[in-house]
Parts: sequence; C-alpha cells; structure tokens
Amino acid sequence: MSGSTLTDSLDGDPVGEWYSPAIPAAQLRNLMKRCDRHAALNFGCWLLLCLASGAGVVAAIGTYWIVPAVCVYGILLSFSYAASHECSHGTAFRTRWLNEVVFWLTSVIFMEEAVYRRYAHAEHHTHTWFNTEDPQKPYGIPLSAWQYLKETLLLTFYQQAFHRLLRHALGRFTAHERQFLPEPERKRVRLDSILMLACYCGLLAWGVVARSPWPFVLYFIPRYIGGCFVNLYINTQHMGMAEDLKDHRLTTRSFRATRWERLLYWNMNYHIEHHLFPGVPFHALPRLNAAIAGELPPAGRSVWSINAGIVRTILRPRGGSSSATTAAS
Amino acid sequence: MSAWNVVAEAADLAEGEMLAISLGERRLILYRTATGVFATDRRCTHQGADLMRGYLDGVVIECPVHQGRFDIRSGAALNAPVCVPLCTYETRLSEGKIEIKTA
Repeated sequence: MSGSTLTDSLDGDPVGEWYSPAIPAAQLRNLMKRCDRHAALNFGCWLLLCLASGAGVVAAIGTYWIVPAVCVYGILLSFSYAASHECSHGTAFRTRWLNEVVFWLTSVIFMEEAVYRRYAHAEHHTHTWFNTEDPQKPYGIPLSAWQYLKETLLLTFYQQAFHRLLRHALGRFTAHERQFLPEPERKRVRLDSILMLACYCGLLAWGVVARSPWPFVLYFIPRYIGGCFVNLYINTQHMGMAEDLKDHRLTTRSFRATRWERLLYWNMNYHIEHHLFPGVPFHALPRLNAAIAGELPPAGRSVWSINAGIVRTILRPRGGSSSATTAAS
Repeated sequence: MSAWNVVAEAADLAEGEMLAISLGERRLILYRTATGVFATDRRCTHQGADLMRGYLDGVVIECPVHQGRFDIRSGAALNAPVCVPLCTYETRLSEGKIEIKTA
C-alpha cells in the first residue's frame, strides 16, 4: 500500500460516490494515528480557562464586572462543543475510556445527549447537507434573516434540544431517528435523557427555590451568551452552502483561524478537511490541509467575514441565481 | 466441506499492513499484526463503508466514515455506531503463503 492510493472501490460504500482527493494511503494512515497528548493539552487548557474564568464570575458577583466575566466564561464554557464533537468521532483520545468520559461531560454541558449525538453526527457525515437525510441540517437555502437570527441566537437549538430530550426521555423517537438509532441504543438514549433533564431541572429548581444565583451565573446565562458566540463558528461549517451534492468542497467551508481559535475550536476551522477524512484526528488536520490544499477551495478569511458574507447573501435581493454562498465568503 | 485457500504471499503483507483480497464473491481484508495474520469482511456492518480505507491500530480496525471499531480477531463490534460484528475467517501461514479457510 505504501506510496499508493486505494484504487479498487467497494460497491455500496456510502461515500464511494463522493468527491475524495487523491492522497497516498500510507500518508493518510500516518495522519490518522492516534495519541492522548494533543487532546489532553486541548482539554486541559479548556478546563483551566473555564475554572479561571468561572472563578472570575464568582469574584465579580455583586459588581458590574459580572457582565464581562459571564461573557468570557460563557464563551469558554460553550466551546465544550468542540471537545464533544471530536470525542463523538472517538478520535480525540487514543485511550477509549478517556474519550468517552470527556464526551459525556462536554455533551452534558453542550446540552445534547451523547449517544444520540454520536449516531446523529454519524448520519450527518453519511448525508452531509442533504435535505431530509442529514439530521443535523436544521435550515436550508435560501436562508431568511429570521432563520439566521434563530440559529445564531440559539432559538432553534434550544427549541430542538429540549423538545428532543423530552421526547427521548418519554421513549419517543421519530421515524428518521429510528432509521439511524438501533433499538438497543434507544434505551441508553432514554436513560441519559432522563438523567440530563433531571440535572437541568434540578439546577433550575435549586436556583429558583433557594434563590441562589449560582445555577444562573455559572451555567444557564453564560451557556446562552457563549452559545450565541460559538454558534457564529458553527454557522461557518455549512450555513448557506450548496445542498444535496456529494462534494464537501461545495457544501462545507474551512476558514483561517488564530492559534487561540484553533485551540478552543479543536481545529474545526479545517472543516472541509474534516468531512473529507473524518478519521483524521483534529491535531493532524493542519497537516492534512497541507497535503491536499491544491484540491480545496480558498479558506474563508475569518469567522467574522464568513458570517458577514452569509448576512450579505440573505439581505441581497434574490434573482434567478443560486443563493448559496461561497466557501471563502 | 471446508478447504484452505491460498490468498497471498506472506512477504506481500508487512506487520501493521492491510491487504484487500477477493475470495470468490467475497471481498476481504488480510491484516498482519504483531500477534498474527487475520482476515475479515471488507465492508463495515454499519453502512457498508470500505474498511480498507480505515485505520488499523493493533488488532482494531476503525471505519473511515463513522469511526465504528471492530476487533479483527473476533470481529466483535467495539463501539457505536457499529453494533453488528464483522465476519472473520480462519487464517494460517503455510510455506510462505497466507491461507484462508472457507466452509
């Protein structure tokens, strides 16, 4: 295999018809290598930053400093999304139990039940940005200003997340969910959903009954504020891109990010690369990018320029042309 | 009646490597690990992805699309989203050749 690409395909491969860049098999295998070190560093930094900024919130309570403190802490807390996503692939840590512990913890913070998240995300990779088939595609094109606001301000997320948790806690699954979630796993999803709802309701009850500010200033409010900020990053992944195409270069975006963004977002700014080869762990995505850069569209300048491009497309009067935005908006 | 079938030269498969082979209608993968040579079906039991594009770590093969993992010795499905075991085949090394037993 060394120095060669895999040329004989297997009939029925779910991604066999998708665009895939040519990359030597040995090089790809080297990129897929797992270790604990990179994820431990990312997760450790994130945890320390959360603890330090959380201490800042505690110290600032009763002063006007509480506002910036909650914003900073909330943004850091909401980047739990990134660790949860990488762990859902099982590519974060080589040590499996470590991967699963971090997956469960960060998924609870992110407010999505872990087992469901893993299966739904697997389906997202099979049917990336296909209408009706991709369970993680909550909007399409043309996108309205209201849909953009609903998505960015977490209205869609909270509406869907709580409705889904409640449904799953009651043992109710949609026909689509039944297609990708095997029956034995639905029992685990149900139990986890009950536990998670109990956690959130317990926190809320503690805050209301005991008139304690802590559940609100250390979880609910910062998670909301930070969630809106992190959603600007999530928007860059597929929002406004072409639909129903078997080519990640047209349905997905990558963008250039700062070192801090890459640390907190676990390199998901290399999102096209991630979709092309989901088995490549986050820490190897820059090397994957270097290997296949010639076959990729130009990366977006920043998360801000991409969101501005999406908004410009939404506000532009619609003519007969496609309203999909470009990768480098 | 079972039979042993020569499927590859042992020298063609280095340790830590995989080799795609066909045996009649079957599409299989041969693996050479520190603990021996193993053979499994090539298609992931979850959605049919080609495991030849997957990641081999010791005696575990990981699906390239959804990262479900199988133990190549027993075929056991190790983690979601794979639940159904992978079909495995008995192998042996004989006079520099890799053989697979078929029913």
